[in-house]
Amino acid sequence: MALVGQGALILAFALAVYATGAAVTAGTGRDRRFLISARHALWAILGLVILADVIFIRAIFAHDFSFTTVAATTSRALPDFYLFTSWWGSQAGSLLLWTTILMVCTIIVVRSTRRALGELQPWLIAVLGAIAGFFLLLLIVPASPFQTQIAPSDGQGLNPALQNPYMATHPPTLYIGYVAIAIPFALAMAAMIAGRGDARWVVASRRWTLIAWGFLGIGMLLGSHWAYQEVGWGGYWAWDPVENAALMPWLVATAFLHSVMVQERKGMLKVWNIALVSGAFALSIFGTFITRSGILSSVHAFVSTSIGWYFMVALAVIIAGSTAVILWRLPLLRADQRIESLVSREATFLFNNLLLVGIAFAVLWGVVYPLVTEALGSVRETVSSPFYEFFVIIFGLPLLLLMGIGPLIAWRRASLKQLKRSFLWPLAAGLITGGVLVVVGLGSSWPGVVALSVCAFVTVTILSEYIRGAAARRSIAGEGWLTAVWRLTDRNRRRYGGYIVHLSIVVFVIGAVGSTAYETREVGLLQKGDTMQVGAYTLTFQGVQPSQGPNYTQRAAVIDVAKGGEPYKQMLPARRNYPREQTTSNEVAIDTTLTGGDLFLILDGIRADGAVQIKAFYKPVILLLWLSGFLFTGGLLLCVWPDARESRRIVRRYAEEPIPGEAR
Amino acid sequence: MSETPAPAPEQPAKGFRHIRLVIALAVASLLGTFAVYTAFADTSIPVLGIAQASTGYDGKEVRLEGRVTKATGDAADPQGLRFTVRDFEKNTTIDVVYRGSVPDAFRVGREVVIDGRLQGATLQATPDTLVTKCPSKYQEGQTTTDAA
Repeated sequence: MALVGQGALILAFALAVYATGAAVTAGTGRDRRFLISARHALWAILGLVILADVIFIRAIFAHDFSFTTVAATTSRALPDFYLFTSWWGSQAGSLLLWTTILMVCTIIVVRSTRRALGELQPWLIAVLGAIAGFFLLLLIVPASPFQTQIAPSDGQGLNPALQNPYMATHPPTLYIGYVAIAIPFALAMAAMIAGRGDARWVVASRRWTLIAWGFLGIGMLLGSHWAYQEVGWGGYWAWDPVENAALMPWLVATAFLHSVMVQERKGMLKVWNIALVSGAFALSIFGTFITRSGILSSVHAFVSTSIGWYFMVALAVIIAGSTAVILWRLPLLRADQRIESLVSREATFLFNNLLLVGIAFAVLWGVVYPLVTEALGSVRETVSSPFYEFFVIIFGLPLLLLMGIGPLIAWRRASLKQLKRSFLWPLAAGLITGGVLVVVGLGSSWPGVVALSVCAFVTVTILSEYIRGAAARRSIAGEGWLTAVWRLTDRNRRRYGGYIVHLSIVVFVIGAVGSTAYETREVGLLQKGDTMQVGAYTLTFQGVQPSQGPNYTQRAAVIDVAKGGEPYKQMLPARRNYPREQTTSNEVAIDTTLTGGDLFLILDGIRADGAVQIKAFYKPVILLLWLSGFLFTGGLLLCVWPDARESRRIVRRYAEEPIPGEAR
Repeated sequence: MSETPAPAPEQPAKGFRHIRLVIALAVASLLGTFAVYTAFADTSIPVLGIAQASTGYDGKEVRLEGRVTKATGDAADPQGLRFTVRDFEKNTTIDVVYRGSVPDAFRVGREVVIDGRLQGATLQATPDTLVTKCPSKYQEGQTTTDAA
């Protein structure tokens, strides 16, 4: 079967090369037959990749350890659920899943833009076909899932850190984000090659960027929650290169989602938008290079194989190619209008973009800093959390502030009177919040006070937008408040969905600031009967409790927790030993309180004399950080959900407009 | 193929030139912040192999990379976990004294990364900075776990 799988991938690669060539021929010669043939080739590639998936998954469940990858990441004792998730537990398997997602996205975008962007189709297929060809090449040469060996009696098993329910959601979610970001890039390149300087490609790519951005965001949040629960160091984000790899394209895509509104509305920032889309895609490939080359030290500890250099070459081609295309089409990308005032919506978006790209650049600089110092001939140096936190604070706080200012400020030019009317209450809310925080004794962290004050400012601006809009509907249509808010949101999903996403960022920031700036942390070496204090909680160690799991043995520290002198609950931080995988894992104990704070216990070690080392944290309001994900998803769905009214508006708008540079 | 030229933009008004200046200054400030911060803030530390660390870094904060050859004690004890990291090619070793969380995958034979201050041939490690590289993920050509 391995041979059939490998054959399917080779054939798929050949078809990807053919689809690209046929699409280019159709684009240059305008022969529709080649275009139709290229489309059919894409379907055939999808079919062949799915066949490869089926063969690979069958080998996993059949414990066919003659497949090298299956033997390296599974074992007979592995539960079925983790057998399935081991599909993306290996380099080859994850690339196979990646290619499958890419082909599904490719088919969807090619079908959905067939009418509206028909003239872009050849180039869209050519770009996506080339990307598919690249990933198929990886699956054939350096990372074949169908490499075989003499089958051992059992496999090596899956890394215990990956034996977690989040394994089912975090990696695929991130992969969808990474892959989907190729679609806006392909649309942008297709539009440029086809000589279409108008905003039609922008309209089509906005939804795809939202999808990619949303999946990357949710993927990062899921990964953070996984790290928080499973890795057991008491945090959720370590500024590790692999984490940063997902953050960088997300930040640049965030900038694009804002600046794209300026292009749609004012015809400005055209070059900037194409640069952002290209940058986001290049950063996703760069992140993959970092992840899979092993060139940098990472907690995630990925591979150090030659595959990284394939990504390096791809990255060079993407940067050189997109730069050449932008330079070629510069005449088509002149702005229709100019920014007239620094106090205007478009200027706010521009500053928002500069800050987002600034943070992305800071993260990129931090990631490549070891490589730069080494290349300059000195000893390799690295930066750690304080570097990133500095930039997140100095760029992030103004960015948060702009999130409140942007929606309330007028396009073109805002008047002083309008600013006063819009910002009086939000400003008052921010100042009062800051004052209250200092008075109640939370002034120990100035970034914390400023961030929470700005959060109050932004929240009031968002609420005031809802209240103002709903009040207008009430006075016109006589609707109740709830109906008015619902219809307001439903009639303009993009705008109000955006506000909900903004609100989710505020909730996230409150959770992040509260749980880090105001965290309590204690470490104690406890003999049986000893106690330690963390915040308002008293912990008493009652002894070690052994137990047996399906493929591990566990030793847990029994900790009685009391609050205010009253028994509260029993917690069991533990360490597990996986004999097959020859490793141990840390199982933290977490209790979420009614106020959204976490009492978080780590069993750091068990000594021979029975004493245990316990690390204990109290993290206020951290629950908000995780809950923000639901709000984010809700807002995102509102923005992405198809809106017939908006589609009609767009169709009308572009039907009336001439197409700049229609012919090449 | 016919070329339809894009309409020529209007000449920038005086106000716009000011805006461009402000934006250019904003970008320059961003870049300047990077330059100043990375030059003057003490946020970076050298990443050293065992052989490099053996010379010229006494008393300095470093990040050390190497393979664990022997380990005794307990990170939970006041005396800490004591282990030796070795550079096999150059046959040099450095002893490490460590307290704090020990990663799940830590054991003799594993590649580790750890921060601390060098005192002669001993690294007084910063608590909770020990990171373990999984060997299966670092072998050329081997299929490896990589999805976390």
